Amino acid sequence: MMSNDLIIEIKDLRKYYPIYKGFIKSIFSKEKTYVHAVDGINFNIKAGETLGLVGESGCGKTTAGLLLLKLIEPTSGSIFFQGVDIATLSEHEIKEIRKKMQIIFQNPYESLSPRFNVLDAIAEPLRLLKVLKDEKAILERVKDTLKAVGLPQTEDFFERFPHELSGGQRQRIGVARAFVLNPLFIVADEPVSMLDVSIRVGVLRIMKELVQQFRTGFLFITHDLALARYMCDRVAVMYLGRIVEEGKTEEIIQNPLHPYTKALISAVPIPDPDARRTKDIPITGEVPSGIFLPLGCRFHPRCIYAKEECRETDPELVRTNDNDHFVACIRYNEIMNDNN
Amino acid sequence: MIFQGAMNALNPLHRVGNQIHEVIKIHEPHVSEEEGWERVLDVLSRVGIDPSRAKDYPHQLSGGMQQRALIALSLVNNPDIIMADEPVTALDVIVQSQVLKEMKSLQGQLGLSLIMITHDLSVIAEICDSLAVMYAGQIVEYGKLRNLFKEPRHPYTEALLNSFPSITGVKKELMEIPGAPPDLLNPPTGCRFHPRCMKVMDICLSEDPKIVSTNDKGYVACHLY
Repeated sequence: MMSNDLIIEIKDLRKYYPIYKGFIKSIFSKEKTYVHAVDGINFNIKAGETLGLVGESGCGKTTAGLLLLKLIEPTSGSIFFQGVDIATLSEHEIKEIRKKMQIIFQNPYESLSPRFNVLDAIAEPLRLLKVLKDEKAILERVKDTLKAVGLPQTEDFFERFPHELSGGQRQRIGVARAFVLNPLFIVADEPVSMLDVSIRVGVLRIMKELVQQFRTGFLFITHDLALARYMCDRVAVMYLGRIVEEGKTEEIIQNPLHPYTKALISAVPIPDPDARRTKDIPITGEVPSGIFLPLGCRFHPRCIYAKEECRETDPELVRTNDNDHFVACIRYNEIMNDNN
Repeated sequence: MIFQGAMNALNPLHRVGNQIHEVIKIHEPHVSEEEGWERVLDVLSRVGIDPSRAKDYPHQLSGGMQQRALIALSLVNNPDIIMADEPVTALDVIVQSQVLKEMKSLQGQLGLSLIMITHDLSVIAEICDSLAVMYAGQIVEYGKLRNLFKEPRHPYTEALLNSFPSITGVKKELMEIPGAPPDLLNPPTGCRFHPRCMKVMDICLSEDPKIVSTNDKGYVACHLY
C-alpha cells in the first residue's frame, strides 16, 4: 500500500451522456448535445475515511459513485485505485480489482434478488469471484459477516427470503454483501433513505463501525447534510456535475464558504421548534438542466452574490486559508467578510 | 388533500389548469366557466406558479412546481381543513424548504387548519403547532409541539427524537430504537411498544396503558404516568 494510505484518487473525471436525436435531424445536423452528468471532479479517499458526496438530485452524485467503481465508463479522466489507473483497464483486467471495491444500493426492496435466500445472497460475491472455494469456509465467513451487521446466525435465518425480512434487515444484508469480501473501498448510494427513521441509526452505526474496523475507504452519497454530519469525516458538495466546496464535515457545516453550500445548509429543516429560522433561504429557482449549462459559474443564475464577473469566469476549486477547505467561487473572500 | 408523490398524483394526460378547473366544476357546479378559470389562475399565482403555466402538462413542470400545483388543487375550493400526506418527502431540501414556507404562509393568510402527516420530525418542527405521535395504530402521545420536543413523556417519542440527526448545535451521538415496527396482524400484548421500550416494566407486557391527560391539554398512553 502507498505511504499515505490513499485508497482512491480521481483526477478530472468526466461523464457526458450523448442525447440521441431522431434520424432525420441527425442527417441535417452534425452537432451533438450532451448531458454533463459529471464534469471534471477531483477528490481522494484514504483508508478508514468516509467522504460524503452531497447535493440535490440530478447533480451527478450517483453517476460519480458508479464511475468510481467503473460500473460505467468515464468519458475522460483518471481513477487511481491504490496507485493504478483503472479508468483505462479492460473489463477482463479489472476483475481482480472488483474484489476490493463494492457498492451498497439505495433501495433494499429492489437490490436483493427475491429468489436468493440470506445465505446465498451474502455468499454470492464469495462464490462469484472465487475468493473462497470451500463451502464450509464460505459458511463461516457468512456467519462472521452476519454477526458484524447484527443479524442472527441461525439455520432458520439463513433460509429466509427477502420478503420475509424487514426493511432494516434487508439493508443490513446489503451492507453484509458489500463487506463480506473485506473490500478496500465501498460506495454507499443513499443507503438509509428508504428506511424508517427508527431503524436508520442502527444501519448507519454498523457501517461506521465496519469502516473503522476494516479501515475501508467509504464514499457516502446523500442529499441529507444532517446525515453526512453524522457519518462523514469530510464532505464534498456537488452542483451540476462539479464539486463546489470540499472540506472537513464540521468545518463545512459551521463555516460554509460557497453560496450554494450556505443555501443548502440553511434549507435543512431543524428538528427543534425553538430553532425556527426567520431568515429566507438565499437561493431562487431550481437546478438547471445539465444539457445547456450556464456560462461562467454554473451557479450564477441562482446566486444572490452573482456579479458580472461570475457570468464570464468559470471558477476553479481553490484552497482557502484553512488548509483542508476548498471552494470554487471567485467571490468567497468578499462574501465571507460580508457575513461578519 | 395533498398527496405524497407529486409526480404521480397529477394526471399526466391533462393540462394542469384543466385539472384544477375540474375540481371547481365538480364541487361547485353553479360557478361559471370564466369565474372558475379566474380562480384557477388566482390560486396558481398564490402558490408561486406563473399563471401562464396553467396550459402546461405535468411533465413540463419541475418536481417543486408539481407539488405547488397539487397544493393549488387542494386550495381552489376554499377548504377549512387540508390534510397533507408527506407533502415534501419527494422533494430536494432547497425546494422542500421553499414549499414548506409557502404552505405555512398560505395557512396564515387563509386561516386554514392543516393536518401534516409525516415521518420527518424536522419538517414537523418547522411548521406544526401541536403533534400527535402514532405507534402501531395508536396515538401514544399528543400535545403542544414545544412541550413534546422539550419534555417528551412517552419513551417512543423520546427515542424518536434521539434518533434524529440535526445540522445545528453540538454533534450528538444518535440513539437507535432496537427491533423493528411490529406486525399489525398480531400486535404485541399490553403496550404495543413494550418489546422495543427502554423503560419497560412488568405491567407493560399484560395491560394496555390508559390515556393520561397531561397538564398542557395533551395526553400520553404509558404506564409510567
